[in-house]
Amino acid sequence: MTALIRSELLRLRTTRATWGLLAAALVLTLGWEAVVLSGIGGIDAPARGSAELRDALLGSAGLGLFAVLMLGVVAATSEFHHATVTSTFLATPRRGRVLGAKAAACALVAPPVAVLLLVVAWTTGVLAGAISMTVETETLSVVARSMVVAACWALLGIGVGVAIRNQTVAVIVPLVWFLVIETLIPAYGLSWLLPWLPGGAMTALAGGRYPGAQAAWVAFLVVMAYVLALLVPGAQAIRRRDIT
Amino acid sequence: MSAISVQGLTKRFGGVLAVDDLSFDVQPGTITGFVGPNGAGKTTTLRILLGLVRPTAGTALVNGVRYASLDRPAHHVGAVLEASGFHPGRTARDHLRVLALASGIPAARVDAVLAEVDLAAAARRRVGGFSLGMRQRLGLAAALLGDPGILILDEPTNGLDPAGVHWLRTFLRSRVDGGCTVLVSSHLLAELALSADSVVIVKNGRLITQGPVAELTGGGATVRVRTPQAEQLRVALTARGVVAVLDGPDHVVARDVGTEVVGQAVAQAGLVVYEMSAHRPALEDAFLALTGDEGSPS
Repeated sequence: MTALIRSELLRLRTTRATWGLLAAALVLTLGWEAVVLSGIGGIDAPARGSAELRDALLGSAGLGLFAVLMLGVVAATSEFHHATVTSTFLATPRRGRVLGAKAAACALVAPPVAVLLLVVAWTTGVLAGAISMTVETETLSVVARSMVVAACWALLGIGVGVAIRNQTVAVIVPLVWFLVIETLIPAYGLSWLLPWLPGGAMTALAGGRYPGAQAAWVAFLVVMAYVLALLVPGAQAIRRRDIT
Repeated sequence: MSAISVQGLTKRFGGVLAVDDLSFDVQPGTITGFVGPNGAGKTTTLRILLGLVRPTAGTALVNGVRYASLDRPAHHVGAVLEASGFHPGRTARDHLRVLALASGIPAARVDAVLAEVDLAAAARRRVGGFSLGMRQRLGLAAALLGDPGILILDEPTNGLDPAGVHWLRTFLRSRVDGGCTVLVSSHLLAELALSADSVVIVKNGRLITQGPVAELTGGGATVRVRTPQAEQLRVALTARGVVAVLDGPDHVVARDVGTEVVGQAVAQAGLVVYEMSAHRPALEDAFLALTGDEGSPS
C-alpha cells in the first residue's frame, strides 16, 4: 500500500494540473487578502492590528483551499479522462486499493498546502503592516485546523470525482454546489439545514461562526459522512465497471 | 500447463454478444497470433484475460490463475492494449516511474526498458507530443517493466511504419527465444504469418480454428515452370503421379508438390527450364476462406 501511495504522489507531482491548482490557490488567497487589506479603515472593517483582522487575513487561505478540493476531483477523474486507468488497473488489479491510495495521497498533500497558504497570507499581512509579527497561539491553532480542513477538502474532492467520474461534470458540480446552492440556502429560509450540508460543515470545521454551527468534531463527522457516502458507492461502481 | 487458457468464455454487452463460448490455449514459449476481422471480440477477450472486463461466463487464466489474483502482475504478464492511455502532460519516463512504483519495480528498470524500445532519447519529453508509433513503443516499455514471462499485445502494429513492424517482429521473436510466451492480436494476417508459430482465428466472438500456421496453410505448394518443352515436362510430371497442366505454350503448373520433385523430373527427362517458382498458399487466403470475409474493408 505504501508503494501505491508513493506511486500516486509521484503521479500528482508529475501532472501540470497539480501545479496549476497550487498557483490558483495562491492567487485566490492573495486576491482575497487584497480585498480585506483594502477594506481597512472602512465602516465595519476590523482595525489594524486587531485579532479580527488577523483572522480575516488568515481566512483568505481558506478560500485558496478550494483548489485542494479541485485537486481531489482531478486526481480521481484524470485516469478516466486520459484512459490511463487501463495501465493503472493492469499494474494493480485490486481497484479499491488504487482509489484508497489516491485518497491517501491527496489527503497527505493537502495539509502542507494549507500551511504554505497560511504562511503566505500571514507574511503578506505582516508586510502590509496589518498584523503584528508575533505568532500567537490562536494563529497556531488556525494552522492546525486548516491542515485538517485541507485534508477534508481533498477527500471530498476524491469522493465527488469517484462518484461522478466525468471530469468536466465533476469539476462543475462542486463549484455550483458550494458557490451557488449553499450560499443561497439562507435566502430560502433553510438556514437550519446549513450545519448538515458539506459546505456548512466545512465552514464550522474551519472555525467559521454562524447560527447553528456545529462543534468542530461534529462538523468533522458530518464531512466524513459525506466523503463515505460519495466514495463507497462510487468505488463499488468502479470495481464492477468494465474497463473497455 | 498452458501459459494462457481460455475456457467457455462469454461476454455480453447489453444486447451484443461480443464473445461467444470461446475456448483456446496458448502454449508456453510460442508466439500465438489472435486474429479475426474487426469486431470479432479480440480486444474484449484480451481485456477479460487481463481482469479489466468481467466475463458473463467462462474463465480466462494466465499461468493457471486469474490475472486479478496475481500478486504484482507486472512480473508475470505484460500487456500493450491501446495507444491512447497516457497523460499527455507527463513525460515518458515519469509515466513509467508511476507504474514501476505501483508494482514495486526499481527506477533503474525504467531507463532499461526505455532503451530496450529505443525511446531513451525521448524519455524526458511529454507524451502529448509523441507519434502513434512512439506511444506504441512506450506501451511496450510499460509492459516490459516487470520482465514478464507472458506478453499480451492488442493490435501492436497499428501506427507503426514498416520498419517499426519489422523491429517489433524481431523483438517478439527474441523474447520468445528467451523463453517468453506472446499472444498478439491483429486483424491483418500478413504481418503475423511471418512471426507467429500458431494462430487462433475468431469471428463474431466464436473460435473458427486454432493451430500451427503451417497446418492452416496446408503443406503443398503450386509450382510454376517456364520451359520451351512444356508438353514433355507435363508428361514427365504426370508419369510421376503429379497433377500438372499446361498454362499457355511454354508454362506448366504443377499442384501440391515440392520444387524438388519437379526438379528431379526435369533432370530425368533432360529438359531445359528457364524459370521455376513455388507459391505457398498465403495465410491471408486461408484466413479469408475460413472467416468468409472476402474483400471486406478493414
